Formats: sequence, structure tokens, C-alpha cells
Amino acid sequence: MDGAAGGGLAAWSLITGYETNDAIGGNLHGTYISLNSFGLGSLGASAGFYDRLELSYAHDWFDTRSAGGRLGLGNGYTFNLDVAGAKLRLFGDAVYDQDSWMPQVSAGVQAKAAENHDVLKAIGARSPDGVDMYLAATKLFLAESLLLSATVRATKANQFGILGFGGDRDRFYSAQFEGSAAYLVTRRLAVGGELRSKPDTLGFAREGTAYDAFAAYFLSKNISATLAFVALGPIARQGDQNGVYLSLQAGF
Amino acid sequence: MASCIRGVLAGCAGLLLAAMAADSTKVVQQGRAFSIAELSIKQGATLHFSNEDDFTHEIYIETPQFSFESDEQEPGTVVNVTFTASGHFPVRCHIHPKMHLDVDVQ
Amino acid sequence: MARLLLATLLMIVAWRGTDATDLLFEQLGGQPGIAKIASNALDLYFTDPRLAADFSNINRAFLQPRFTAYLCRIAGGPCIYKGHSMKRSHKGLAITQARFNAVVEDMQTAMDRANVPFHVQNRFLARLAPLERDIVTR
Repeated sequence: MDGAAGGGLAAWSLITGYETNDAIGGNLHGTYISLNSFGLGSLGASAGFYDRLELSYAHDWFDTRSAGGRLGLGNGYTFNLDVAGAKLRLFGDAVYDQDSWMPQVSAGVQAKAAENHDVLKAIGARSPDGVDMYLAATKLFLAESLLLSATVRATKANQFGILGFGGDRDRFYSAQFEGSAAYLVTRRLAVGGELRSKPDTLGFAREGTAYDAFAAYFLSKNISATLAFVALGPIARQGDQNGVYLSLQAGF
Repeated sequence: MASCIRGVLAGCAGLLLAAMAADSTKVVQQGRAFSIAELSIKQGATLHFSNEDDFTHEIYIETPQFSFESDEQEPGTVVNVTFTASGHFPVRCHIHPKMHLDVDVQ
Repeated sequence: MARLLLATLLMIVAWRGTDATDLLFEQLGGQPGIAKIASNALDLYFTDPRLAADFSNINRAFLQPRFTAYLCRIAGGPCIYKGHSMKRSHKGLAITQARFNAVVEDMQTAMDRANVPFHVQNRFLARLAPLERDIVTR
């Protein structure tokens, strides 16, 4: 969602690219989520440098469809969000360190800027812009064919930042948690689940923890597709939003 | 890159040593190559193969007139080969097929 | 939720602890299985455009028995490996991570061709992966 290398919801400590410490790699993604009342999309690109630094950019849009009408914004009113990120691998190697418990740990920062300033102000968001900071630990337990990742994020973002940052209920940073678990079924197929907790700063629109259960399929070494069932919790007063997530990724 | 330069230098050294035809000559094994590509020596002369490489070598000569097998030659060790027969003898390494030294004994 | 996560983690720890060394060797096909995997892998290394130039510097007849014995020992088989350590035997070769990864990929293909099940492959690769820090010098 935010454009950083990871699962759909959670940011991982992996650096984009093909794990080579002497080369630069990249990744493109396109994602669409169809929910009960909304549509959510994301397009982005990331570049990984020498398995040490990752830079990413994503543009997310949030289509309110008919809920837009109910919210007084007009049917099909769309919120937009830009996310620019940087991630630095601090230590450890998720793949090669199979003989120790040490995970790969990275620190990341994401600068987010939402458009629709007037509407955000009207719903109580303190700012259309915000910065998330996170620390992620990821490890591939190859002998168990299992990948586990845990992230702690300092954020004020409302609905990932789509509805601005901070609100009438809370204007400070809070610590949120993200976790992913993926099981490698075959060389091409991985299945798993994720969760991501979120702050709940807007009195106007309460929100909660988001979950997904996914299947990721590698069509080739460079292209993968992910299908997930998502439960994003309540969004913009329209009740719990559940739906289907489809993402395509191309990497080199 | 380094082995390319080394190759050129080895070639130059080879020309010089070939002209000398000494009784007792040192050949260095380094960078998975012999320091000389070809050499002319007198019958009865001895070559000292000095392994100054990072790798173990195992040199051999296999011809009807003369054969020789070293055991595994660890880095830092010297193998001595005395050429009692005359003729043309290619020296090779069992481990590294690209190592070539051609010895001409007169 | 947290208890489920903890239980899963404890199961993983227990499973790792009881993983008998012999079992992996048997699952890879024992002596003949390892020999087949090693042979398949070398077939690939000597022809893979990413690796063939590097491998042309070594005599396959010299490498194959040692490579087989090493894999056998790593798999927990009753083999004696008398060669040099991975660090010593690869020192000076300036091996890149990209080449190491290519070797691992070809090893996976070699195991596919020897009909080794995916999860058994991963258990074997888990023992080979840490060699990266000894073998890769660039």
C-alpha cells in the first residue's frame, strides 16, 4: 500500500531487487482493492541499491463511489495520496543467515502528502501531510519454508494517510504494529496473512486494524500476482470494509 | 584484469627464460597459471614448481618418453621435476585445466 | 491471537530441535540421491552462461567427487570430506553474490530434476545458505 517492499499491508525489512549486494534492482507494482463501499488503488515503483538502501514512490487513490454521495462529497469523489519512502537495511540478512535467529532489520521513513485539503480539514484531520517512521524485522525460515515479518511504526496517518494525519481525537504519534506470515507452498506459490493496526484519530470516521489473507503466485522470475481477501475495518462511516485485493508486481 | 596483465608479463618472462635454457629453473604457480608459458631446458635439468597461489595444484606430465605425477601441492610448497629424457613435455594441472606450460628438453 | 502466534513459534522451535540429521540425507535419496543432485548441479554450472566461464577454470573430474562428498556431509550423510573449507577453496576467486545466487538457483533446478520435494529442498538450502559469507568475497 505504501510502496515499500513488503506484503500488501505490512512493510518488510527486505530491500527491493534480487538480493545482490553489488547491483541495483527495481520493482513496479499495481494494486486494486474492491471493498463493500469503496475502491482503493495504488501504483508505485521502488529501487534497491546494493541490498542496503531502498527508495520508493507510490500513488494511492481512494474512490468513494456512491458513499461519496452519502458523505456529501458527490458520487465517485476520490481522495489521492502520494508516498515517498526510504528504507535502510541496518543489519542481518533475511535469506543467508539461516544458521542464526538474527532477522534482517531495517529502518524506514515515508513522507506522505494527501490532496483534497479542504475535505480533510472538514473531517477533522490536522494535516494533509505526515511522516511515518518504522522499524521492520524480517526473516525467512528456509527449513520451515516460512517467512515472518514484524514492524513497529510511528504514525499519525488516518487510513494509511488517505484521510490526512492526526485528528480531533489524537494529534500525537502513536506506535502501531504490522505483521506478516507467509508459507512457501511451491517455488511459485506463497500463502499467508497479515495484519496492520492503525491509529484512530478522527472522531468523524473511526478505524481499526486491517487484516488480509493472501496467495502470491510467481508467473516468472520477474513477475508475480497476489490475490487477497482483505478486512480493512470501518472506513469513513460506511461500516466494516471487506473485499478482494489484486496486485501485479514486476521486478528485476 | 589483474590476471590479464599478469598474462602479458608472464609472456615477456617466458621469452627471456626460453632464451636462457638454464640447468635449474624456478616456475611459479600463481593466479591459477604458470609464470611461464613455454621453456627450453637441457636434458637432466630440474624445474622447481613453487606454489605461490591461493589454491592447491596437482601437476602432471603424461607422455610415452616421460611421465610425472605430483601429489596435491598445497600453497607454499615446491615440487621438483628432473627432466631425464629429451623431447617435448606439456605440464598440466589435474585441478585447473587451463594451466599450461610446454617444456622443450634438448 | 498473540497466544496462537506464540504456540506457532514454539512449534517451530521444537521441530527444529528434533530434526534428525539423518532424516534429510534419506529424504534427499541417500548416497545415490546426493550423487545425482551433485551431478545434475555440475551439468548446469558448466553450461549456465552466468557461470560456465568461471567453471571452465576447474577440472570437473577433480571437482565432482569432492563436491558430492561435501553435499553428502552437509546433508548429514556418512561421508568424509577431506577437501579444503569453503572459505579456503574459494578465496581469491572474487565470487559475487549474483554468482552465488546463480549457483543456488541451479542447485534448485538440479534437485527438481532429481525429484526432490520442494520442502525437502528448502531444508537442504537452509544448510547451504550460510556458506554465502564464506564464499562471496565481493
